[in-house]
Parts: sequence; C-alpha cells; structure tokens
Amino acid sequence: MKRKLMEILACPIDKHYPLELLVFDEKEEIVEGLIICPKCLRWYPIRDEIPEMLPDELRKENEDLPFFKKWKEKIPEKILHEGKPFNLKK
Amino acid sequence: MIEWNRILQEKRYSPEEPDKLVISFAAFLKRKKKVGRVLDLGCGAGRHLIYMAKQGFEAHGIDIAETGLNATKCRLKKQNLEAHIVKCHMNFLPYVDSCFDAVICLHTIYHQKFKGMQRTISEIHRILKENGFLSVNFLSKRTYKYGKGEKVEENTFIGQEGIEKGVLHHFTDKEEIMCLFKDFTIIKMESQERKIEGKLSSRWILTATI
Repeated sequence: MKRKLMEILACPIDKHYPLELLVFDEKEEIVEGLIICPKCLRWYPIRDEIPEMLPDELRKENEDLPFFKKWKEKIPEKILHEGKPFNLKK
Repeated sequence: MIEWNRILQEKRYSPEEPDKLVISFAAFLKRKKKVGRVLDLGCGAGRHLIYMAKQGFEAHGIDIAETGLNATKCRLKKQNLEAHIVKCHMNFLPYVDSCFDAVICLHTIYHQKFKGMQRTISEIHRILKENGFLSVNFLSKRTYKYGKGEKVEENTFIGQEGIEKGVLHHFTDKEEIMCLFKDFTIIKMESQERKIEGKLSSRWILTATI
C-alpha cells in the first residue's frame, strides 16, 4: 500500500475521514500496518501490502487477532482494549 | 468469498486481455477529458485495472477475494505499473465522498440479491464526482442461465453445477435497471447478446453519469 492512498480512504462503516495510519513494516510500499478509524475505533490490517477494510461480519477473528497481537507493542492502548471488531480486553 | 478465491484460481477467470467494454469506456473517458481517478469495482486478477493504469489513469481496484488481489499485485509489479488495491466489500466502500472520476463495475454487481445491488449503486453514487461516469453490466433475464439453480428470491438463483456452483446470480431487465439508476443520468443502455455453444448469453450494458 502506498501512503498516498490515505488521501481518499474513509472508514467503510461510518465513512469517517481522515483515518490514522500505523506503519509496522515498510519497504517500497507499506508491507504491514494498521488503519484506524478514530471515530468508531475500528482497525483494519494492512497485510502483504494490501489494506483489508471489510465489514465486521466478514472479519475473521482467528486471522485478525494474531496479527493484532503480533504488533501490540506498537498499537495505542485505546485500540488494544476498545478497538473493534476485536480487541485484547479480557 | 470462498467461492471467488476458488474460482479465480481458474485460468479462464483471470485473463489478461481487457474486455472490449473497458477499452471503449477508457476511450470515452479520454474524449470527455476525464483521465483521472478510476475505480475497478471487483477487479479480480486485475486485467481492467492494469489496462486503465497503462492508459494513464490513476487506477484503483477493490475485490473481496485475496486470490485475485494477490494476482493483481504480482501483475502490477511484473509490469512496473502503479495502482492501488484494497480488499473490501462492494457495499461498504472505504473511500471519501466524490473522489472518483469514473467507476468500472463489470461482471460483479449481479452476484448478490436485489437489496445488495441497491446498496452498491448507492455507494457508487456516493464516491463518484459530479459529472463522473459509470460503466456497469447486468445479466439479462433472457440469458440461458436464468431460472437455473436454487431460487433465493425473485430473479435470483444460486448455481448448482459447474465452476460457479454456489455462486449467486441476479437477473434483470430494462425496467429494473431504470429503477435502480433513478438517481443517475443514463447515457447509454444496450443489450449485448451472443450464442455460446448454442446457448444465449445476454447482458445489459450501461453507461451513466451523476
């Protein structure tokens, strides 16, 4: 994913703009990262250079949570504990 | 989603040559001086996205199947082309309002029920700029597949055999299209029919603007 895509990306659910971008691994493009909607607190993974911005019902917890945990040191506390559709709150 | 990951592994579902519709739509956009940002909605393995990028458009593509998106990514890198791809659903587009000069939606929108199609069209309307253009096609009720498979609602069937087993198809007619696009100005609507091994394939092709 190229950074300039953020210029037109909005949350697919509430259409909020601008979204926040966390970059975990970047080469020519962002390889892994997170896109966050600061309004509804949904987070969307960037994996293998492709942002994945699916509605909640199409998200897979068994695929998304391991990714979320892998990068938890770099994710803000609020998203870690209140993020949607999945978070690390006990 | 699973069906499309499986289907897109079939070579005939990931051709490299663009549909003639896209070639003529690109030429139409150039005549209208709209060589700007274009979205290929349901880009699959990327043949139309790549064609539009080669034609000088800022090309964007979405799909729900990672098989198609990964193939698109590889093709783009191989050809040293720039385009933007997102994995998302066509009824929940992750873009700001009024940001695209054009949208291409071929062989995609009819793989859902009527309400889903209404939702997709509403999303396309939202993301198109004023005077932006849309190219979209629909399966006609005249096509040989109509009525085959499990009926899930009026004019909507799930295929029970072949490669598209488990895939939903909605079939439509001129009146329904006019109703679906009441918020658009229809520039051109035509029926495209041909015989494939003696069976009638029939689609509606629409060019519209807002």
